[in-house]
Amino acid sequence: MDLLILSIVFIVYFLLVGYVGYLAWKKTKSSEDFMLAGRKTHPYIMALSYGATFISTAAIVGFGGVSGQFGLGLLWLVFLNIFVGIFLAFIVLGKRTRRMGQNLESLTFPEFLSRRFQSKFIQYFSGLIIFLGMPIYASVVLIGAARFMETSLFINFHLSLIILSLVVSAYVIFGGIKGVMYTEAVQGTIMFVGMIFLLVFTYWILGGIESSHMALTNLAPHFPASAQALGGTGWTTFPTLGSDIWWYLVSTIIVGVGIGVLAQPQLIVRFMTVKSDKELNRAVLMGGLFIFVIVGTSYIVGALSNLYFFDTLGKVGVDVVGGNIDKIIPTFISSALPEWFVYIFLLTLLAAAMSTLSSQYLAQGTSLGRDIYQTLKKKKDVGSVKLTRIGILIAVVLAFILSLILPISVVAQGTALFYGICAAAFLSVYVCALFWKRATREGAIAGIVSGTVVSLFWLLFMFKKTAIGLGVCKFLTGQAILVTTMPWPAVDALLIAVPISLIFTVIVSLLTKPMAEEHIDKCYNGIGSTSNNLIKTNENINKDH
Amino acid sequence: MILGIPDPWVLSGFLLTILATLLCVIYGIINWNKGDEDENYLE
Repeated sequence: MDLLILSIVFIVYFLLVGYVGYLAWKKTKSSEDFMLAGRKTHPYIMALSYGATFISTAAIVGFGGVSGQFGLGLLWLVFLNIFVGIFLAFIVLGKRTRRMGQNLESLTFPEFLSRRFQSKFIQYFSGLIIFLGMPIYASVVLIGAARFMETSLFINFHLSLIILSLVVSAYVIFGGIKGVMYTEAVQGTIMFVGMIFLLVFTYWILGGIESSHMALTNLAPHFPASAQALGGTGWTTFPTLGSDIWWYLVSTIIVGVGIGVLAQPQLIVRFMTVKSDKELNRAVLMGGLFIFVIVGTSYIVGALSNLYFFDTLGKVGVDVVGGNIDKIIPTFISSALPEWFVYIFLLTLLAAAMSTLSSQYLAQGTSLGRDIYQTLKKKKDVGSVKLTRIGILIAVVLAFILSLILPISVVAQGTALFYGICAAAFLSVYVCALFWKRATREGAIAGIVSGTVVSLFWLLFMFKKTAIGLGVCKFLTGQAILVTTMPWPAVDALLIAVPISLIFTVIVSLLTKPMAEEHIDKCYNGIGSTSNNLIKTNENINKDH
Repeated sequence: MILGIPDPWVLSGFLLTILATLLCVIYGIINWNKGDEDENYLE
């Protein structure tokens, strides 16, 4: 690989991103422009921006490596990402979110919940969860991208951190969500083209779909002993029911990531950036294809790489990379694919990281500026954009500092931590806000607070991976985790906290006074049938009491 | 064995991934021009 060519490719890319960011800045005038792109985003931009935010480098390289180790069972995650993360999210949740967000004139996700339930507390508490929870997730992505620049361009790690922080913060601070979404559409396009080539090329060199799968099935006797010990059975067979790997696959990845994605504030807010349901209908097509090509490719290629490695080196993927499964995909690409593709792929990875990072910065900035500061200071719209810009700057600096000081064991848990807390705090309340007119302010508060507390407790004290990684339980109690009997240490926080949050939301709502009919009508204006029937039913229920 | 994958769980994961993508594509095509009928009040 020629470093000069790669540097030129990267510089051209940075210039392109800078130019698109500049265009966005020129088109940003109001706070609605800055936070919701004036609610007039093109479906292609919306879909690719959603997909590119959703999929970070970790999903491509990290999970691609997991698939290289444990096999194609991981495709269930791709299925859930597409069916739940795109199809259901856009059609079932997205359309209502867009309409209700417009009815309530909300610009951020916390503001959406707060106006739906008429509670300022919800706005700044949700803002706080996002603002405090996201820096560690952002630093995970930032570190990943900087390490990657370090290894591919031989730029010092600290310098890479600075370059990335400066470039990304520039277009987020000036361009707002337009800056983020326009650049993400560019980045998403690069990712899409790169991964589609990778998929086709890999199947082609390995002799086609069916014969490559067959060959992978026949490679099972060489399935690594380390993976067998944990319950893995082969690359084309599912792990043994109830084994460590089975729980890891089913619980953490499939449920945690596949469903956790529904409650990501930086994704939800994208539903409010389009003008009508038509854009969402069109975006479903593009988003579904995008996730299939990006995630599907990396998992399929991750598993199939074993065939290539075995044919050329006589070893399977995990052994070729010395156990560091994050290297399976990059090693396969640098040894099996044409040289020009290596440049495209490196660009793909950088684009994936930058697109995730930019959305995180923006979400934190709006949380601090609009949801926390403005709500607590009781200020109206005045200076919203300026405050958000300051919020973004603080987010960038925070992620930068955390990237320098956090131990690697903590960083490794960052994504799971943020996904877990967000899903636990927001998922049930968000769904109730959209579908259950009887949900009350008190119910929503109870749901958000209980979800946050339970998930934090579970992540810090019960769930083996995060509890050991973060070390809080060890520090406070002397034991690594509180309960060691299976399956509890392997059960994802989401599986526990989301149902608890839902129970709290429902019970407290039923015990408290329904919200005013007028307000509910305003929220649900243009959504489904009118709210009269349900409210009348509720009145009857109350009379019965 | 279908598509060279012996395990029904893994095979269904593979097929469901493709079906879910097709679902998104078909839904998008069918509803390509639907959904903006009542948005004029925004203008």
